[in-house]
Amino acid sequence: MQINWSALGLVLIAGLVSGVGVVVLFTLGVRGLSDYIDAKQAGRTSVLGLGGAVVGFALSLAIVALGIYVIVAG
Amino acid sequence: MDLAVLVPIVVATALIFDFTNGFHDTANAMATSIASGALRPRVAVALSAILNLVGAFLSVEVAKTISSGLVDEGAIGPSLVFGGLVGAIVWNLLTWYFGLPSSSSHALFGGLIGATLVAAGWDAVRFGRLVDKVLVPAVAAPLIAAMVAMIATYLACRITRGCSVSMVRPGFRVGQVVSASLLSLAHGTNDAQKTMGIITLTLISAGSLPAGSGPPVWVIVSAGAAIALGTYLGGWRIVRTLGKGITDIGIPQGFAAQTSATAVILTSSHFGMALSTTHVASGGIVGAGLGTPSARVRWDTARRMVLAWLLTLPAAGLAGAAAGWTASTGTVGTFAVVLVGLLVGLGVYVASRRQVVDEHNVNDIPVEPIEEPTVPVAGR
Repeated sequence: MQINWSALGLVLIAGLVSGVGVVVLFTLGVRGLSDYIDAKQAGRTSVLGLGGAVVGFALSLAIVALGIYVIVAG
Repeated sequence: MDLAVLVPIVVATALIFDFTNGFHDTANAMATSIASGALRPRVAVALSAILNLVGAFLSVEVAKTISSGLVDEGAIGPSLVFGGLVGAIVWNLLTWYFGLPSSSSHALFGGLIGATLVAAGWDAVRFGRLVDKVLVPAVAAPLIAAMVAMIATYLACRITRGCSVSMVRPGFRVGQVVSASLLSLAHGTNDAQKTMGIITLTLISAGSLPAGSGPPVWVIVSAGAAIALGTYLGGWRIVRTLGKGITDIGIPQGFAAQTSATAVILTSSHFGMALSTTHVASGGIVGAGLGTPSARVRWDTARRMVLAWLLTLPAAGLAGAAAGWTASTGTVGTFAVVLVGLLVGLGVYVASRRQVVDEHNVNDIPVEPIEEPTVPVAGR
């Protein structure tokens, strides 16, 4: 009986990076879009908001594609 | 007993297990979406069912072992596989009745180990692997998921603080539904494959299929259909426990919990450590509660769940041992197990009708409400 600590550590780190990472990226996209719309309604353009939305959503989408690949490839 | 009779019984039992697996695990993918209102209950289970079905067809590589190497599979014949499946089904039904999310894989392992112990003795069970394959992941899964979800929820609430709720909610809703969909797809791929593996290996051991062959099309279709039907019927009791019993899940919490759970499941299976979806999903919800400053976690519900997890292996093992021993005595024994199994199923169903949980009351809080009203929305 032995516990494979390195495998556990790997799963923990990978879970933290992927889970927290994708949540933060997507949330930045949501926040960016919200800021962009807010600014637009005030007659301004929020470049930061638009950029955040585009980058956040694009990276999230890429991670979803990676997820599907992991499921299909097993 | 005659294989021509036994094999169809094993196949049918495997499909019934697959079905209970579906409705037991609906909650893992959809409890947060139903609780947060991201999806209407019927829509949520229908979406999950379709994706489970699609998932069943996604990968052609089926499980090569029935028990993931926990028991010496040379020592177990169709009678014992049947006994193990019955043990797992009985435990799945009982935990469903009490609304407790417990791992279907653990129930299956327990049932098979119990059946193997009585028929083939202690030597046929690889207890060393039990620690590695079952116990360590069972402890690690909820802790890892809770930690990931706690940090993710906290950050999601921080980042969106100050934006108007009406603009943040649709975004999180989409994110949550995508995460839940991915988890459903992964579930169909993993768990339907287990059933396909059991049926295929049984057919091979009976000589109906040549050694080393993959599952015939009818096996893929029936396993996918069974798990999808189970998912669609919803397992509302467990959905309610996970969605409403642990903490108050708003849109940001639901998104963070579900996305964290999906990420942990997919990364862990990618790195070769199979974590139970049930443990990860439950841990993710606890973590989302912990990561929300205003939310409370109902630890009594969490404690009951952990108790069910601890009992799963021995309880399914006992049931599997009794069923496996009886079935291995011959035709009469096998039919006795079938009869008792049907009676247990009927009994649990009748008992469940006394207090129905369905899509109409799935979002009612199970026991007494959380003391303080919580504000589940990040933006103010």
